[in-house]
Amino acid sequence: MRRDRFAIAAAGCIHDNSVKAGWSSSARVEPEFERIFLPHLDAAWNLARLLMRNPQDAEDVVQEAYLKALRSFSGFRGESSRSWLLAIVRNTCFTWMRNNRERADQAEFREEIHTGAAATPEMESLSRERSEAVTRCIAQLPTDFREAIVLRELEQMSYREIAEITGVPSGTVMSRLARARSRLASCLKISLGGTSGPVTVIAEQRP
Amino acid sequence: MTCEEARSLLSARMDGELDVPLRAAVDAHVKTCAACTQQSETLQSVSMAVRNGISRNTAPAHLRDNIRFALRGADYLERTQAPAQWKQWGAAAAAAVFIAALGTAPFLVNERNHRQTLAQELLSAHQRALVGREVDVVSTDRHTVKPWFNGKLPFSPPVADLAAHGFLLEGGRVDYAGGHPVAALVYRRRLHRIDVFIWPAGNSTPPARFESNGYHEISWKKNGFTFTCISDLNAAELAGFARLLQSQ
Repeated sequence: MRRDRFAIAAAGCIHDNSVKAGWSSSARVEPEFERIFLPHLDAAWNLARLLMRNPQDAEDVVQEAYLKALRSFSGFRGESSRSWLLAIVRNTCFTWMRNNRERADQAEFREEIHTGAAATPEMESLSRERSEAVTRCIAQLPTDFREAIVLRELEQMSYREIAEITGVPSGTVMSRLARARSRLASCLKISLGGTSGPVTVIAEQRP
Repeated sequence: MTCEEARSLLSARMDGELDVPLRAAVDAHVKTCAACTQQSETLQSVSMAVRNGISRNTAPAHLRDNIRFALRGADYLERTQAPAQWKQWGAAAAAAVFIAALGTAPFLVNERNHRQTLAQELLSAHQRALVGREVDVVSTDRHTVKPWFNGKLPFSPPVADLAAHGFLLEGGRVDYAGGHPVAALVYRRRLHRIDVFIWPAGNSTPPARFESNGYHEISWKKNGFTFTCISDLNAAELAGFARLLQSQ
């Protein structure tokens, strides 16, 4: 990229801005920001797509969260960058849901987007059904429970990390996870085929 | 430990989140309690089912591109924003004190007004085109658009092909602003239209940033031309576009 330096004209504010802006890499924070936070895009995307009902909204939310994060970048003190970003993503999700409650309630749940990558055509239908059942049951969880489950099972975060991101005490994380799992168990109607046998997951009827 | 106490802790036990003494107490109970053992296995199954069921997806490639683009735009806005205004006023005030003695203070005030007026005129041109004729030459090929201006303008504006970046050239037209003819190039991104006005750098320069009723305007000078891009696209994306154009 060519970075022309413009001559400073006496009263030309355009010139002024461009030169002061530097056009020099040292003045730019965004390459550093990208280096730290773009590697967490998949985590941000998975959290957003599982919290939001519609993939387009999830995309918008993730983009907005990244812009917010860039604006707050000066406040980033080198703590866990993934937790820092995910906290912004979930807050942006919640703000969006508050502002679009009606739309969110009316939105139809788009299963194919929420189902994991495991749902490929060549997969046997049994495991695809399982995956769909899990996806549907997770979607039915209250949002607080859902985000705890996603952060724990997908991101494998500790209770302390989840507590930091969601802004509640660790004890609350513990009880949310316990209750979420108990709901999931009844939703999935998990039965055990013997202690060491295969797990059978039977989907509930579609709502 | 009662069954009830143990049950409330089974989930945390599975996650390895109990401290050692508590963990030992729960373990001891589970060993002797068939119901809690069963419950513990159910929890394991749920956890496994969830992990297998919602595997980690890779973010869509276009999302990554859009984010990088918007980040660059936002960074550009950040760097051309408030301090410039502040300095501009400070400099203007200092200059005013000095020049007032020479009796030319009205010139500075006029200068600022001119810039705002020009920005407003460009916005009006953009809005007029939105409801009326958008382009006089319809072409996505810059080698068609650029020669079209020959003879219609006393200068030859640079025309960039940005299709690879998601900005499609739709054509061009001749417009008027600040009392002189300007080249207008029309680009489109999704449903948003962007007008790029280009004219030889001279006395009339709009402010680097201008905003009105949801429209954003970003201006700069380069290679002897003044450029102003206007759109209802969000500010970060328009700034990304401005950066892109500046790098051509």
